Amino acid sequence: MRPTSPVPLYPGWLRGWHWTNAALFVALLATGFSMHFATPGEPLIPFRTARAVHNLAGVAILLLYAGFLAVNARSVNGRHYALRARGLVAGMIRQARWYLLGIFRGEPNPFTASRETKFNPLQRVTYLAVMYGWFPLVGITGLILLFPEAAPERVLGRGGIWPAAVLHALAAFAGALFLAAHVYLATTGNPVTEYYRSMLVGDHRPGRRSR
Amino acid sequence: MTMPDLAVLFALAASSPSPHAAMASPKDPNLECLRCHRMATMAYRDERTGRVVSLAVDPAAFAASNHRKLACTRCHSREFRWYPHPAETAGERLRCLDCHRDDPKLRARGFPAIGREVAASVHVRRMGKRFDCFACHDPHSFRLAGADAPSLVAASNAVCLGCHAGRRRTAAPAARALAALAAKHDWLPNVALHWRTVRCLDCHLGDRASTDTRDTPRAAQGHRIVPADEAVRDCVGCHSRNSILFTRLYRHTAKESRAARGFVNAALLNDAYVVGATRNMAVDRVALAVLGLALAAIAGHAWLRWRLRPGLASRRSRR
Repeated sequence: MRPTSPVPLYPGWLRGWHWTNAALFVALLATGFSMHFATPGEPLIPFRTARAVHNLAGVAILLLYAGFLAVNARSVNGRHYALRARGLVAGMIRQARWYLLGIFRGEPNPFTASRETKFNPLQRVTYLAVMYGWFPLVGITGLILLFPEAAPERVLGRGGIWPAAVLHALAAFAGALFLAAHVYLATTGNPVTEYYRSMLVGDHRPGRRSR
Repeated sequence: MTMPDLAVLFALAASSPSPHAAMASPKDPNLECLRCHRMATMAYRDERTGRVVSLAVDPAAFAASNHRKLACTRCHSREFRWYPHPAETAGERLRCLDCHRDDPKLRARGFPAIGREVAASVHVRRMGKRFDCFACHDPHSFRLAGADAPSLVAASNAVCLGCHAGRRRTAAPAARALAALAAKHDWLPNVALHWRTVRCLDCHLGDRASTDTRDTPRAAQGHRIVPADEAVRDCVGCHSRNSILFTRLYRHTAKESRAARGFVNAALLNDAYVVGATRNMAVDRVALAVLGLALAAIAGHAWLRWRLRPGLASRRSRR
């Protein structure tokens, strides 16, 4: 496939949202795990600092998420998260096969991002789950932990905060897993920095051989 | 007419048998005493200090107390059986250790050690002998709280707040005292929640080294209360795997849960959630393993991509 002219894929507001979201996400993971694995002597981030940063970043990322929901409800950006059943599974298998085999053989990426279709089938399903499943889960459980007095006194015979806390911690592990995969898969462009470059400057140069 | 006389007159006037009294065993030796002393307003003004001293005993609270089976005269002088009470009864001074020092049933509670601990506490150091057991423990209503944390916290903190937030004062000064107390604790996030879920003692016994490692019976350890500036002030004292809450507030449940489920955390997981202290080890282990495997898979994938990158084979064959 011959290289084609750059496609303006990521407008400024989207890049700003993405990187702000990323910074808050990393801050939340670092401070959250620091509190979860708190140890006397505090080798990680001091508990008091971690708590303050975590609360602030948590509220900020939720405000940002509210903005994301509003923009997606009113603009065409929302369509990237809409699933179309036809060909979805086949597309996911094709994409997974490339990640697991084709990429090593130097085959071209079966998916080419365009303004109409920004995400490959695997991305589409993952981002849908992350933005509309994971985010509400982590946000609601986080809000319960931020306002514990609003939590029910008992749930299933246990303290009311308990389910929210365990779900929040599990969601954090899932979030860390997503971050690791996201940061790595973003190197599958050609050259490896291509996707990072395009999310920084906004245009995408499709059609180049990927590996 | 003196105050005690007046009080007795009031008490006699109010002493018509209540349903509760009618149901009590006629042999109950305390009924005679309670005929007068059940009256809530029964009190006299101490001529020396000018303070009003209550002589009232709430029968319901006494019936629910740990001392409910004791006859009044088991602790108080038998001379009190007579009315008017003989003059020599007036100077009676009781101490818990009078009964509890040598009671074989209570030996494990370490009452003599409690005495030593209280003597070293900030209360006795500041107030001297004016601060005795009865300052915190009313023998007519004293009962051991349940082992579950919420009832322990409520019972224990009510004792502290009785003096420190003026629960015994009228409403307005009490509210001011409570607000002032909250202000002193403003370093603590979510003060109200902390007060509801941990005991004042859990921080105000100081750090672990000063109490837990000494050769003092557990029950006595809750009695050496330290001045505010020696109280626990670091978050990770409680918010860590090695939380002091496991040796204090949750020591009953921690012991049970260790025996039953093999890990201390279950105690808190069932009851409360303390960030940093209540990690579910199984969940953590599985989650960290999954995360580790994912990172290993990513590293392997990246390494393979590097090894199989286009052009490498042809470059090698040229060599």
